[in-house]
Parts: sequence; structure tokens; C-alpha cells
Amino acid sequence: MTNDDRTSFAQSLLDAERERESPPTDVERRVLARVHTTLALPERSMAGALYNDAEQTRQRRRGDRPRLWAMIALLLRPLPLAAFGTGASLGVTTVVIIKHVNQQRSVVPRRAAAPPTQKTKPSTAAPPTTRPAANRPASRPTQIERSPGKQHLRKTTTRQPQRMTSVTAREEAQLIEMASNAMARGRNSAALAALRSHRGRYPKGVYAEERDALTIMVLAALQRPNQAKRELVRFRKRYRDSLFLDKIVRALQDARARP
Amino acid sequence: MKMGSSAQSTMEPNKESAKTTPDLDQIYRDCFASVHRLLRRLGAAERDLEDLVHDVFVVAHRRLADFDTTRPIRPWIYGIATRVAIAYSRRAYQQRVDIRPDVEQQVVDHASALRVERQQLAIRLLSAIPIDQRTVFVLHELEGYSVKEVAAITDTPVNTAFSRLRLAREKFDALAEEARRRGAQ
Repeated sequence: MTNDDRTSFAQSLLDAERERESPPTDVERRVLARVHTTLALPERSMAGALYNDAEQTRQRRRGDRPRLWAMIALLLRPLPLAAFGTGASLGVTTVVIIKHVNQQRSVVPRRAAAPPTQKTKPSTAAPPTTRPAANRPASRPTQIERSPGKQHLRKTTTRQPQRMTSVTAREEAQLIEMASNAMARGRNSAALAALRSHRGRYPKGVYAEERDALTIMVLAALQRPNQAKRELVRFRKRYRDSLFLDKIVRALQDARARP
Repeated sequence: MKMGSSAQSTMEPNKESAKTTPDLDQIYRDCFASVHRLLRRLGAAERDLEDLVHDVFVVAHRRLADFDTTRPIRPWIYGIATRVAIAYSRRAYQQRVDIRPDVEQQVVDHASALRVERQQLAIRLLSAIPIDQRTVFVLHELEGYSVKEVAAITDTPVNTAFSRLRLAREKFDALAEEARRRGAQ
């Protein structure tokens, strides 16, 4: 057998694979319908929920940035000369700067990235040089903090009853499966996080029993026997005839036997 | 639509739609078949193919805002598909034994029977190559992209893509040779 023969056989396989026909149109239509269904799902859908979790984390991080920038902007602002004058040593100056920044931070709204000049008193007010910053009275909530805009930012979230559909059941199952997979791979913390996520979203979901059973097993695997026992007592009260009980008890015994 | 037939043309920016963000349905119509084939070649089991294609287009929809409209769509969607396939191949449940048989293609005559047999063998051999190397190999050998384009799609350095391609070729040839020897015996 020559090298050319070998290459030609491999090539013939690739040629055959290149001639592969398109998938049937019914598959195309079916998958498209599924894609549309997924995209039309509410935000609490599984995929949406995971995406939103990541997005919320990103927004939280982004939310910290304006505060950081506001602090930098405040540091760069000309501080009262008297503060520098009185603080001869570096340590004193640092204290004065920190106090000044703390005062200004209380004025800056938490998430607003607006320039700090909007939050200071109008220019007709007494100049800050008349009194050292260190001797200023403690800051009190300003008008901005109590403004309706701030209240608007604080949305009151009311939990609405979850409508049980096949979609929510599927999402629940996915979360449970995710936890189960994580547990099988020894990622017990991730499993616990998925189970807590399920508990938060579907406290009385159709997979509540499975969730509670898995939670106990994960707690046992995480070497938290006391918490696992407490959960087991609750589980026994809630699901007296559960088929999971034997498995849970065995998992707890195994965890206890482990060094 | 036969695979790899328009790979070169799709690498060129589409000037007509350069300014407008493409519609998901349009992307789907253009790319469904090629994404389906690509995922199969990258090792997706028949039973999981539809799920993976679905995932690709859902991700594409979410990332559509990030898409550079001056660039061609297919390499972009192939990038998503390769990442989905890599994630799929690394998932733990993938390693579970599934007793459900894959749906086989219907064979009508001897020529198509031989072709189907070779296609199945090719897929089997491809699945024995590590996923990183397999991705480069499939995109270059079967989809018709140059190594530079493959490097851009898979977001790897060009030299790495060359190296993976070389290794994949060696493995594929060796596996094909072994399969041929077994078939001849």
C-alpha cells in the first residue's frame, strides 16, 4: 500500500462527506419555531434567566463605576486651601482629603454619573475656604437623596404568582438537571447555587421535592451535617412518603462515614 | 445546498447589507443548513443536533447587536457554532452512554449506500480527533475556508491553526488507513 492510496481513501471519505445533503425542511421549520418560542419567552425563562443573571452582574459592576469616577473627580477638584494650610504633615492632609471626599460622597447619588458640580451649592453660597473642610459638620441627607428621582430608582418589587406552564416546568427541570450534573461532577457549590436559584424562582414548583432532596444531599457532600439534618427534618415533615428518603439517609450516612 | 460551495463568497463583506443589521430569520434561512452540517461534523450526535442548532441561533440573536455589519455573516455564525460545539463536547452528560440509536439516513441505491457509509465513517473518524483540531480541520477541509479565515473564526493565532490542521490531518489519515485495513481484511 502506498502513501498515495492512503491519502486517496481519506480523500474519498472527505469527498463523500462534502456531498452531504441539506437537512430536511421540516427540521428547519421545527427548529425555527423553537428558536422563536425561546426568544418569545418571558425573562424568567431558563436561558433568559441565565443571561439576565450575567447581565445583572455586569450592571452591578457598572453601577460601581460612577461612584469610583465621582470619587476621582472629587479628588481632582481644588480642595479648600485652608485644609492644606492647616494640615502641615502628609498624614493630616490625607485625613482632610478623606473627610472632604466622604462629605462629598454623601451628596453624590449612588448610581448617578452626573458631574459633581450639579450637587454642590450654588455659587452664591459662602466660599469653602472660609472654614476648613475638617471642621465642617457631619453631612446630612441632601435634597438629591430625597428627591423623587431617587425614589424612582428604588423600584418596589412585588412577587407575582408564578403561572405554571409546560415552559416553567421545563425550566425547573433544567435547573434541577443542572444541579444534578454539577453534583455528579463534584461541583457541590455550583449545585447548591442552582438549587437555591430554583428555590428562589419556584418555591412551590413541581420539582420542589427533588430540589429539597438534592439540597440535603449536596449539604451532606459539602460536609455540613447539621444543616443537612435540619433540612432532613423539614423534608420528612413535608414529604412523609417520599421515595427520596432512603437515598437521602444513605447520602447522609456516607457523608458521616467519610473522614 | 451542498456544503462548502459558497464558503469563499460568504467571506467577502456583503456590500448591499453593509449598513443594516441582518434579520434573524434571514440569517436562519441562509445559514441553517450549513450550521446543521457543521455541528454534525464537529461531533454533535443526531439526537442533539436540533438542540444545538437552536442554541446557535438563540445565541446569534442575543449577540446580533455586537455583529459588525460590514463583515460577512457566515464566519460569524460559524464562530458561534464552533463555540457551541466545543461546549457540547465538553459537557459531562455527553459522556453518558445513550442507548437510543441515531437516526440513519434512508438508503435507496448502491451508490448512495456507499456514500452514506463513507459519510458515516468520515464522521466517526472525525469524532476521534480532539475537538480543537477537528474544528480547524472541518472548517478548512470541508467548509473551504483558508487557515487564516479559520483562525479568525475560531479566534486562535494563525500558527496555532496551522499546527492543529497538521495534527488533525495526520490523525485523520491514520484513522482512515486503519479503517481501510480493517475493511480490507
